[in-house]
Amino acid sequence: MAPYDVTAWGKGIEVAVSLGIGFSFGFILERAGFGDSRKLASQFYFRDMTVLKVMFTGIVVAMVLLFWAVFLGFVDYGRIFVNPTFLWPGIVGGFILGLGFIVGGYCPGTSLVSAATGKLDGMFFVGGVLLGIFVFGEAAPQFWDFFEGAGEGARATLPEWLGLPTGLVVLGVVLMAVGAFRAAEWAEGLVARRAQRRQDAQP
Amino acid sequence: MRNPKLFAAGLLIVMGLGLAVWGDPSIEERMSQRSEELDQELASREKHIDPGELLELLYNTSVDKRLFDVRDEAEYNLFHILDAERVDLQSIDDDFASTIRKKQVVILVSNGEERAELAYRRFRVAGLTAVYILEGGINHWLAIFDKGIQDAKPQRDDTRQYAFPGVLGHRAPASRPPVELAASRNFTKKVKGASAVKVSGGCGG
Repeated sequence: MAPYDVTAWGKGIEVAVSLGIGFSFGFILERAGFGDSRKLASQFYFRDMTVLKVMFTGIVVAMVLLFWAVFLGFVDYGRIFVNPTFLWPGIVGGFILGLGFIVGGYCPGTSLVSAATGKLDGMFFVGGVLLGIFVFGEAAPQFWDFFEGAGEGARATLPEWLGLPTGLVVLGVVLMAVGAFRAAEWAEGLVARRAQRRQDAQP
Repeated sequence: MRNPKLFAAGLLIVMGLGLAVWGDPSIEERMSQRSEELDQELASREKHIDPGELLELLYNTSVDKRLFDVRDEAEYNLFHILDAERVDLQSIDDDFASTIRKKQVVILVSNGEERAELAYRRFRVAGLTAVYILEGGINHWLAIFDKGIQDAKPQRDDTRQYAFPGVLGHRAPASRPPVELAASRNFTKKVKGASAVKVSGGCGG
């Protein structure tokens, strides 16, 4: 029963599986157009909401398939690693990452995709990411208390937090995604119409 | 297909609805789904620990552990290992398992091994992995630490094979034998201890 312990299959296979997943992920990001910082930054101005649509689609498809696999007995959910929750560090880190995303036009994964396709801005961004990792590593002891004191770092999931059945939460997230897609397209249309009106008004 | 987006959204909603209706199989259904895998785990005896190992664990305060006794209340009252918590087999479900920290080691005890193995299955499908069974149960424990029969053979049979002059609970000396007795046992340590919380992250995008 999945998940399988890939590490038990030998180092070669472990590396091959990691490379396969990494390459597929990067390929899909590139095909979705995420190697272009202008396309990525457009989401913050509601001009192009592809990022939200692709990422949220990935999340809900993976979630639905995972829980169907759990339901059918193919996957042991208890053995799936879930990142421990450190709420406040997560919020602060998310804010900093978002800020970097707006300024630089990439997040770490997409900057690698961009760099891999030979884009200069992507390469500079990757350099910045590496520098940030170094600075973070050096500065981490200064705020370690905040990080560790911000929760038990335990596995926290929506069904546990809400006290609702998993299936109901999955349905809720799917509906939320469909609603978000609809709202994103509405916002894109609105921004496009305004831009068109401005263009028409110009002499 | 006229509108693939609409079709995909509809498919996701239908699959989500399916999960909302059927997506939470009972613990018994999950045990049935995973019976083959659990049978193999139990047959390997890798999760059955020697009484000597349990005795060492009882004295080892660095291991975060819970000891659950799944025998009847009368048997538990008659004798139990110090710090053992009695629990009804049927009450072991997802809610109960959620009260156990992921890093905690769970050790299960019954008269023999049969009931403890049933409890093991319930804990495993509820998502716990560090679950162990006392080899031979209380019958084996008492044969070694009460009667001093070091070469007693562990048995799966859950029939009670001990008697006490009264209801002793954990007041019997064998409830907490001296840790030195563990040294007289020849066993392989199987409890891996609590897995450390792994901190990782990344936006992935």
